[in-house]
Amino acid sequence: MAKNIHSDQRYIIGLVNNDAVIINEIYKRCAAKVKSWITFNNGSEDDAADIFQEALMDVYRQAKYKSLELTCPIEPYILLICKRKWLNEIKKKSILPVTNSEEDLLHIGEDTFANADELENQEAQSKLFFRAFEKLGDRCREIIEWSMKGEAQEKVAESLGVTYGYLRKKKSECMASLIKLVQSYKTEE
Amino acid sequence: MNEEKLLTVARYLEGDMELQEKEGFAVQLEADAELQQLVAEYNNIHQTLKMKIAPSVEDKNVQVTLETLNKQYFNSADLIKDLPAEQRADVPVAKLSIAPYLKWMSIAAVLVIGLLIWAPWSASLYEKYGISKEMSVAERGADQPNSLEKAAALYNAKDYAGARKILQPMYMETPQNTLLAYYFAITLVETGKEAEARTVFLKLYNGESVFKYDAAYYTALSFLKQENEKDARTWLEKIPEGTANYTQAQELISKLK
Repeated sequence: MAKNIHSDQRYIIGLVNNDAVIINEIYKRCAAKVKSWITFNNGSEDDAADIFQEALMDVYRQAKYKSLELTCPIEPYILLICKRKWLNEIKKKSILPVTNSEEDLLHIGEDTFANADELENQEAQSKLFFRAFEKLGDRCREIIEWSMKGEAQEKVAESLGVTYGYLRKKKSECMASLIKLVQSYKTEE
Repeated sequence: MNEEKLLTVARYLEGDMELQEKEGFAVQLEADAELQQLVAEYNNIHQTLKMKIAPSVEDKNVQVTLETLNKQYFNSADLIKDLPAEQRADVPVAKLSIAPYLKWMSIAAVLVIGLLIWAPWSASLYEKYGISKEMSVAERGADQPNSLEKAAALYNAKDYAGARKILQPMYMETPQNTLLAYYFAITLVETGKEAEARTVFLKLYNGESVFKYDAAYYTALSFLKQENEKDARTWLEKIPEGTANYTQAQELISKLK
């Protein structure tokens, strides 16, 4: 399945590599537009800043951990993500948007929607996983968190006051119950 | 049944198996599509959660970069808050130096304007449709300001052989300098070295500089100069709508018919 990767993928690569020059270019191309759109839609400057940063962080994570491949230009992609984020936000706060959702985006390609949808799906998934994680018992959460942070198992066992063997066993059990929770959430939806 | 399987997968992936059991499971896994799917799901959940729960140092560094830029781009707004939203979008953010490509963009703009002023007299199509008649070096190369200026002076006086002599060693030294590459290539065309010129243009065309489509255009001209209308045409057609040379390229195509 050969995807047609857009040349703007270079921005994604720059973002993953924390290349300040490239990231600055992303800001230069997109920040002002996001700002004016959000402030025009009853948001504050700070809201715009938060949304923008959140969007870039989402993109960064997808790119780094899920090998995101951009098949559309970066500008409409970021704008669309920010717009959707802000529309979600104001739905929560029950403020009415001034601009109707995506009617003003007619000029952007289908690819952009597909790319933004993909990111949204991944984020929704991520939220669902996290919800399941939070449902776990304290002990399990602690153990999973420690192990994901890459702490040495012996050290973790010691600080939790359990044996190494117990910790290993417990960790597998915790992860198994986490997956089970996720699966049950998925069937609910 | 599922729970049992889940626990086994977890134990396998979390390294909670003795060697023998592990090898046995690996064999089983290879034959069992359902197990494979479970492993994939497990890994996906693990990976996704990990990026939320335990961000790496790099993740945090990116966050810091974003926060810094956020301050630059979002909090300087007090000054422009009173503008209507549409205009606000267009207010450039202060404090940031103009990126080099912008400078080149302005050079390109100057070249285009220069072209509009320069009245093409009747001449061969190559002559008539030439662009970049003037080499302007608004931005001097820090290390060799004088040679670049000298080259520009010769170039503008149409002494292309003289300009080429200066530009060639400079280009060899810094082939990544697109401005240099572009004008050097033009001097090659002007001095009858069309084929060599085209290798330089091709590099520019394959790159992402502001000279990308100028290079395509000049490649076409170099073919035209050699009376190869077919290849000239092919290159002119590569110039997309909305770029500086589009209209001219289209006009030239119509002349070739």
